This record gives sequence, C-alpha cells and structure tokens, in this order.
Amino acid sequence: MAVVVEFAGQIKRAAGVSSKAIETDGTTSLMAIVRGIGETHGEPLRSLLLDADGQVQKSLLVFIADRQVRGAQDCDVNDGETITLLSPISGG
Amino acid sequence: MTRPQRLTDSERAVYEWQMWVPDFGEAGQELLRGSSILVSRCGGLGSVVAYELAAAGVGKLVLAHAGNVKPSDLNRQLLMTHDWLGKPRVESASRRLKELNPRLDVLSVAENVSDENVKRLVDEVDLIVDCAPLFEERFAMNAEAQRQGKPLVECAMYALEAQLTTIVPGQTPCLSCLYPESPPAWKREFPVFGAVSGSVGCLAAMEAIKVLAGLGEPLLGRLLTMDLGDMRFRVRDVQRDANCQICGPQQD
Repeated sequence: MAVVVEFAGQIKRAAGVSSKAIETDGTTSLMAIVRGIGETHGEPLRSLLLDADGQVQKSLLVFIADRQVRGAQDCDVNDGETITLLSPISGG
Repeated sequence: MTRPQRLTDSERAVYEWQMWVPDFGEAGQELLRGSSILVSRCGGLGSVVAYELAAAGVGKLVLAHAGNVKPSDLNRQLLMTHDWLGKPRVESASRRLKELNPRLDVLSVAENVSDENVKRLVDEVDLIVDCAPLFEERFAMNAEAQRQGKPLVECAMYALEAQLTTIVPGQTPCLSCLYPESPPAWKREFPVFGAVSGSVGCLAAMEAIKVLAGLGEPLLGRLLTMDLGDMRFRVRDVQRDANCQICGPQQD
C-alpha cells in the first residue's frame, strides 16, 4: 500500500521536499504514518510533527484529501490517498 | 455592529467604479464608510491590508504596531518609508494611509497586541484583521473576538506559502480550534517576500470587505492555503473543536 504525504510551511523546509510517497507495509493508521515520518527523518522534522513523548503535535493541521482530521485523532488511510501536513504559520 | 453612513458627493466620485460591483453598490459602500477595523500589526501583511482597506473607503482603522522603522522592514512593509527609519512605525503607516485617503479616521497605537491592551483595542472596532507574527498575539485577539462576538480575519504567511480563514464567533471554528496549543517551533523571524505577504494581505482585506458589506462568500469554516512556489491554491473545510477552551460549549 502507498500513500502520498504532502508537506507545507516549516515542515516542508525541514523535510527538504514538498511531498513523499510512502510504502506503508499494510499500515493504515494515519498517526502511525505521521509518527513513522517523524522518527525516520529525525530532527528538525521530528519535533515539528511529534511532541517529546512521541505523540503527534496537537497544533499540526492534518488533512486526508481535503478532509481535516482534528486533534491528532487516528483514522485509517486508504491506498492512494493523499495526506497533507500543515505546520502552523504566523508570518506577517 | 456596523452602521451605514451616507456618502458625500466627493466620496461617490472616488468609489464610483467600486460601487459598480454587483451586490455591493452604494449600500455596500455606506456600510464600509460606517465600519471600523483593527489591523495588527502593519508589517508585510498588515501594511497591505490597511492600504487596501483605506483605498476601499473603510471609515476607521485602528493600527497597532510597536517599534520604529528598521532597514529590514523595507522589503515588504509598504507603509514604512526610507525617510522614516528610526521613527515610529505607526506614524509612518498613518501618514501613508492619510495620503491615500484623507477622509480616513486613523487611530495609531504604538503597541503590539497583548493580553493587557486587547480589550481596549477590540472595543474600538467592528472587525479585526490579524497579521501578527507571534501566536501569543493571535491567541489574545482570537479570545477577545470571541468574547465580544466580533469577526476575525486570520491571515499568515511563511516563505512562499500563506493561509487565510475568516472566523465568526458562534458560526465557525476559532483559532484555538485549529491550534489548541501554541506551536512550539514558530519563531518571530521568518523568510518573506513582500509579494507573498502582500498577496495574502489583499485577499484578507477582501475578506474584511465581504464580511462588513455582506458580499460574496467569505472563508467561513474554510481554510485557504496558497503556495506561490508552485501556484497551488486550495480551500479545505476546517472543523470546530467540541472541547475548545475558547469557543467550546463550556464557554457559552
């Protein structure tokens, strides 16, 4: 199974790419996918996605296609879907 | 609550082409003439917001921005001028806005929004456009907007990207629904082109005009994201947080 994860804001800068195709080895858990990206990349991306306890940051905006997944709640991701991770930005 | 104000003949002459916009007309212009807006701060984003609102004929602007003009402001803060280096930013902003629209009532406050002054600033206006570079200021305006039941246009940028949504208390998610915790990684200094902050500034000004004049469909419960690197624009629905500490049911 493969999904595409798009990065925005500071996350994109930390990842060094705007998107990444991820083979999930059958994993369909959204939060497991996000945690996997954070753990695989290490800093500085990790701390943008995960808190000190390894949980997904509550202020991360997460969408599957155009559907928001609120408050670091978990849900299944289907093969071929696109996940978007938006870091909070405040530049003026 | 915005109260329409009748236009003078000279104002009709200035806004003639704008009043041709369908569903706006002289009634919409009178609503703008009677409205007041807080813009915080007047940086790359807020300068353009304030300039467009002054051009559009808003009656009163409250500008909140501390500090003096620095060289590093001048790539994007279009209300700041080279001859005003070292002098208060809000004075430069007010001067430029009055050059464009001498009828505009400008209240210049040489302070950034804080928990201490936010009630006083929001008391003065019908709507807020949030252009602050720090989440602490944004959260203070969001909470006060909810307390006073006033709409808040939230706009922000980073490098080549920008975000925009319009918050109406009781109708839409608030800023704390989107970001329940202060984002730990955000820093006050950020990469910025003036054309990016100016682009989202124009869109934010238009959101304010739409809300005040009852025009079009503001971004209520919707988040616009734009990336001027690849020119992708998207609008996505965003959700209220049933347990939000600011606008959740326990606050009603």
